[in-house]
Amino acid sequence: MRRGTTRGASVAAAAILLAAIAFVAPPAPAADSAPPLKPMMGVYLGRATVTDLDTRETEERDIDVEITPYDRDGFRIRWVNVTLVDGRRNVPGVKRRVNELTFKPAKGRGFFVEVPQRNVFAEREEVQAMGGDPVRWAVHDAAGLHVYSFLIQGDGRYELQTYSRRRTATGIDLHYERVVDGRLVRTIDGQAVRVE
Amino acid sequence: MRGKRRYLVSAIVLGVLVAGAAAAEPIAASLGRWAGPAAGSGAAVPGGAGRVELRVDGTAERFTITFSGPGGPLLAAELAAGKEKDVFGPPAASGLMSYLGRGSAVNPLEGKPLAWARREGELLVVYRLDLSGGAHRLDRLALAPAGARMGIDFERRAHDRPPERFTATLERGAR
Repeated sequence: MRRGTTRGASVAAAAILLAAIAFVAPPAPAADSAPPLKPMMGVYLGRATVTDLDTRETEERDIDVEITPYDRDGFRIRWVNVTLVDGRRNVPGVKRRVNELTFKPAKGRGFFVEVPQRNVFAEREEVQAMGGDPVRWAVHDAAGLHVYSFLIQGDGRYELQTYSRRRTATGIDLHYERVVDGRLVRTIDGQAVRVE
Repeated sequence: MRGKRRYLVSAIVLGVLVAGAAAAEPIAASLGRWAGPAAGSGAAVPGGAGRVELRVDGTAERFTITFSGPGGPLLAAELAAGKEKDVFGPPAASGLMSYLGRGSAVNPLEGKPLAWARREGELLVVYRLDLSGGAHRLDRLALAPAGARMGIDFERRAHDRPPERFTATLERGAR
């Protein structure tokens, strides 16, 4: 009798969970009609300030951003960061970092998903978020082009990096946030002009 | 600065609740039904201020959780212990997919929400990333059970809006 009651409770719990999963509303679409991506395409050069919110330390960096078309409706973004030493880039200690990501539209879902870079040595191509693979996507709306990079760390905490680039009359404004397990730990703010 | 202070207050509330009760495994200590009023402004509570409800079923190895606010379900997940200690993920599928080691792989880019959790001392934190609607929504629910009371801290991050966050102290209901 008691076994039956326990089983009945488990079935009820499973039914409640299924119903709850079904009724957790999906997030609202990014935009009803995304603006065309073409005006964002170009090469931009500028300067940004990095702020570590734990230490309040800041550093200046030169930024070089290139947004180019990919395939039919996708885009590729390449950016070069040069971390300056006392505002200069021609002294020892200067650091240069290059990143490149490619995105294609997610079918019928109003955003872009990362196109994995080809690696002939890779065993698998499928993104395994629980295995520590970064999950990357992008949204283009009236506020700009937003690139997200999400990662689950080995201890289960998450890391979410957001790169937002907004068009201005002369180029783009850049805003970056790094959030670790709900806590904002780093920001980058800067401006860049379109290269003629 | 303000965000940091809110974090500190939440950490103190959760800490006091945890310190007030004997140390217990957080999943076992969370099992059952819980309810209470959300503390926060109306804008911080998705669906508006009001009563929140929590239900946790299962074992410390595999459990389900449903969390609802005044506007309806906020977070629901089924989770199982994974390869990493104290980290829980989607349960592995059975049959051939499980044999191939691919059963538990959930890729949120393909439109299926990904839920996972971690256990840290007396704290259980459940997460959910949903990209199904065309933009992302990332939820974080921290549970700090302490006897007949439960401290919770819920945060929702979504595209193009500031984070929503509220805390609550729930009372245990009938199992």
